[in-house]
Amino acid sequence: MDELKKGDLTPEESAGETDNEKLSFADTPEDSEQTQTQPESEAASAPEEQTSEEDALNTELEQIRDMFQKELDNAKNSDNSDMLIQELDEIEEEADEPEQKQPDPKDLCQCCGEKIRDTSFGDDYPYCSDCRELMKANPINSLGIIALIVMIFIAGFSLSRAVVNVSSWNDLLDANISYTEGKYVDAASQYQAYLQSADTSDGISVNAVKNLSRIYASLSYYSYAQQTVDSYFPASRLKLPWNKEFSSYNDLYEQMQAAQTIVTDNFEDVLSGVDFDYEESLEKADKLIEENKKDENCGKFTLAYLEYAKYIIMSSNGDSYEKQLEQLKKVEETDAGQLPLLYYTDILSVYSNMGDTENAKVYFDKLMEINKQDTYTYTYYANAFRFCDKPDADKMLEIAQEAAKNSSANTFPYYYKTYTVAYLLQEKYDEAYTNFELYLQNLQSYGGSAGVADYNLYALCALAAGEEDTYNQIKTMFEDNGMEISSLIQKYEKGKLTMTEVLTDKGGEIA
Amino acid sequence: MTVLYIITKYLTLPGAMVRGFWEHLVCKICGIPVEDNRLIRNDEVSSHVEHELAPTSRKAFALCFVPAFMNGVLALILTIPSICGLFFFNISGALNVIPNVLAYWFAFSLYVNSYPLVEDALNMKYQVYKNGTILQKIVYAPGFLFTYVGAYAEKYCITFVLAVAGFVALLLAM
Repeated sequence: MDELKKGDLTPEESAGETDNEKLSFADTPEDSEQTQTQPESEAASAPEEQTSEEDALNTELEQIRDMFQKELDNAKNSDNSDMLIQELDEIEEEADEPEQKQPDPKDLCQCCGEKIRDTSFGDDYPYCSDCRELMKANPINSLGIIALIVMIFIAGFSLSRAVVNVSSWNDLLDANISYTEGKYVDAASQYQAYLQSADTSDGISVNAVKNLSRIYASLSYYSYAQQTVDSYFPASRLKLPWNKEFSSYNDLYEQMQAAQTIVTDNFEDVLSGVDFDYEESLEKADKLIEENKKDENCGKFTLAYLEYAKYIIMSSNGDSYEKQLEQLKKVEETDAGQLPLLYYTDILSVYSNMGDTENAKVYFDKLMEINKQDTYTYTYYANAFRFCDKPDADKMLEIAQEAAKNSSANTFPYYYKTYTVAYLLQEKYDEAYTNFELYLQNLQSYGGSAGVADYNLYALCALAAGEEDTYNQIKTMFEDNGMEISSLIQKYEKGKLTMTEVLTDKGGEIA
Repeated sequence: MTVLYIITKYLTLPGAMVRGFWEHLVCKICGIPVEDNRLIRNDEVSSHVEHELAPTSRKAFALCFVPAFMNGVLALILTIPSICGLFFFNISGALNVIPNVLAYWFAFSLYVNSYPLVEDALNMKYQVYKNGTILQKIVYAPGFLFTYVGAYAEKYCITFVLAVAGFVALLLAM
């Protein structure tokens, strides 16, 4: 029996079974040596009357053992030996079970604390297989589901609002892009269109209102800026500290109005272009400047406006460009950048007429920062390359192209005139004539009318391009109005002046 | 750091809960036992359900990427209208402002809670690099890097700091 068991068990198992063997067969003759090893005092104390019974029992057990051994040997020799041996093993294991020790608490499932850990997932796996299955079925926390549902609802609501507003948002996007690119004329037009179509009760773009009023303010249209803010912002919003910028337009507008009133009241004759007394007007302007300098309540724009009025007097009198420029610099100094559009264009124009391309560029750049879409600015700057020592038609064309690139349907295409002059300088007369016709067409569509200098340029183009009918029509138109075509053109017709000489004349007869 | 981590989880509660929801859902689909299904707890596992490590590379990948992807998609849906409405166009009116503020907060919280735990990211690396082919290892590499860096960023509240920085940038750009 002992041999059979050891042969079938692993070393660990056989080691674990040693105690059981001792319990089962401690009294067999084979174990008599072990019995003999017991202390003699113990053996002596056993009752003598039991000895005969024990001997009888041992004999009977030996007989039983021999019988089982015989049966086992027979079974081993038979065909079903494997099965029988297996059965014996099973019987022995079952017999052992009730006598196994209690499992170590470390081997118990950490979840239920009852079953043995399932070590098939690793020696340190803490749970039994039943708990593992239960964990797989652990329900999803309802808070997560609720949060997800709320999020989906809000996402749907926000998206639906966005979809409803997508067309107006698209307009706003265009306006914002124009604003970012510095195309303020386009941006103003797009913001106006949006605000007129928007449902104010449903909420409007605050940025549109702010940007539009900023555009107006940068162009010194303070009344429009104030009007825009008042129309769309409640008074409470304007009181917020970050909206301080938008609450001051009204004050600026009033100060500008006051300054304009002083100038118009005192220099009406100069401004209306009628004959005026130059010295008297200058004296009056100086006196007003001195008075306002002393006045503590003088408006912030008044002095700049009065200095500017002095420049108008000088310009109307035909003073030299140097003198005009000196006065304009005084205006700039007095104003300190509050109303740059009042005098920047004039300074650029004077530098251009002087042919000073470097200084003209400084003021051109300043004006571009304020309004990239002012096509007049491009034309003034291009004139610097027309009136400089060596006229540069290529540079003029480059400037005209830049103007065309930044212009849109909202801006007047003044650059056609620049193209015309540049092509005339390059002796490309057909292109010059075509461009001037485009200029006139646009002028009509914008509701404007050509001046004398414009018609002189038209006549020059027609003459150079060989458009005799047009040239004669213009000539007749001048005569009908009691005027004469420019003497420069007449000289050019007679071959006394070249095209460049006609175009670079600073008299202002040709546009 | 754990205190800060827990505070950020409470500040981004909706995203934290939804992140835990996705994680639990993936565990269910992949048959990964979930030991503790609480979504918000006062420890370093907050916003994640406590689950066993994924036994295969695919499951590990799903556990790391599916919650991040779902949070990302949902956050994007919430971000577009909210950013347009609040910052880009600044649309007034309670009917516009309140849902947009909520949507932005939800999106913010989803972004902050997109990444897996560091343990899950490391397990993904272990699973892929243990048995994967060279192609798999190459394909997984950027994903692992993204997950690993993101997991650490979330652990040390850097995702929260970045989200706040984004919010400040939007305010300044208004």
